[in-house]
Amino acid sequence: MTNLNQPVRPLRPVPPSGPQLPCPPGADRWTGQPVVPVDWFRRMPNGGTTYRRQLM
Amino acid sequence: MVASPSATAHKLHACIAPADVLVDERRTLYRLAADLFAPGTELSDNLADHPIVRYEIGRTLAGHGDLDVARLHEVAALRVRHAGLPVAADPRSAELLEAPLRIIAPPGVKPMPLTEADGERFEAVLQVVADGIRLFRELAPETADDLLAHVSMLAVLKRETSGGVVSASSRYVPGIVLIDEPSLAIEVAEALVHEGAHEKFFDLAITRQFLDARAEDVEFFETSWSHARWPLEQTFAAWHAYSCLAQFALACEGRPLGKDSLLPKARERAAEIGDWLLAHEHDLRPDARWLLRAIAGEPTSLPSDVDDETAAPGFDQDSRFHVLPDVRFKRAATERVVVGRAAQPAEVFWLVDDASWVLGQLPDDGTPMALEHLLSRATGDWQVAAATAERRLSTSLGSLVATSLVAQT
Repeated sequence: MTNLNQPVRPLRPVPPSGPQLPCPPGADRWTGQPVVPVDWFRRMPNGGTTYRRQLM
Repeated sequence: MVASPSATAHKLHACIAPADVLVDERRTLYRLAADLFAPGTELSDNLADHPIVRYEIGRTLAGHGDLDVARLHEVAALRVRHAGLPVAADPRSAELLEAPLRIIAPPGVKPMPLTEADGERFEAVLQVVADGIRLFRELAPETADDLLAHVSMLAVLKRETSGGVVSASSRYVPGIVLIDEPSLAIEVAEALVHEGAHEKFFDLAITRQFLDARAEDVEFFETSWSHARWPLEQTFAAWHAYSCLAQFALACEGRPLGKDSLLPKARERAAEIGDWLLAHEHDLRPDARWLLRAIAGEPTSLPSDVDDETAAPGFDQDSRFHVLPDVRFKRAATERVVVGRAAQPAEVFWLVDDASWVLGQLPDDGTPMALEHLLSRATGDWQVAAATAERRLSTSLGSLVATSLVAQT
């Protein structure tokens, strides 16, 4: 099912370098929720979230 | 609110998850969804990344109709040309990209994509796009890697049909960026920072803890510059984009900008939106709050979502657990697990660490496993004391049972 017109682009991982910061909560087993619902697809904010520069 | 000059967005993004990790987890979620709605369907990376494939799967996840696998094959045949990113080139693009073109269209406007059918005009634009992507990578290589990993396709709108749209993206068709027919490479570069930041946010929002249903009940933010009113999700997305643009502006100092450039205004607007978000941060989920505070240069230590001492429910030692029969799951390269249940609409969950481990231990065929057996394995695998393992196990099992992914017998 691969579209030959769209070869796989190798991703270039970004190393987490730079200032040392406390881990975000989701990266810490003891502060995040063990089971996180994904309700993104069921939400319909603003009837359709589109960003147009002339409105911003 | 002023971002720390050293705390650049790409480094902060990577603290949550590097771009390749986010993309892998996103693909895992879409593959799970495809398997839920059309069992046995396997998506290649390219198909899992395809914006219209993701639109179709997203519609089904939202409970709007069934998944038409033949339609996935049809849209995947959209011909693209390469200019550093795949650019929609197919003369049928107006038909195959109908959804994003409709969603981003201003009232009364029907934007049309520029394609190979437009001959030299398309070839000339393709060169400007290639130059713009090259310029982005030269000016801000780490930001380009960080954001462009989330852009799967670019479509260029014919200038006479764009109706004032300079650049656009949509949460409903993630992965595609639409831009007005550009004259300058810098216009393309800026549009890709702006919309690439939105695409990054879409991937963060479906794989990490950013927003939940309560976002829809929060008062709207009103911009001081246009008096537009935005719901919380759009406000966060705009703040994220303006923050990325503000950092890109530093790399563009002294360069001529496009006539519609937001770069000179980005820092001020990011600050205005950021201040409002900080006042409403309790309506954001933990990873969104962390990113907001980290970019703002505020302390990032947050109180736990889970009270370690009280959240773990007690289970009888002779309890047995099994995975419910309508539950399916897939494991990302990071070992994080995404779980789905084919309800109407489907329910999808990410499992964090211990919960992923627990689901991996329970037999696929639904055979129950005794708590005592799980506890024995957890103590060994986690290399912790039995009391700690029991508490962690109980917390995860409690959440898995509460969300009806696992049943206790």
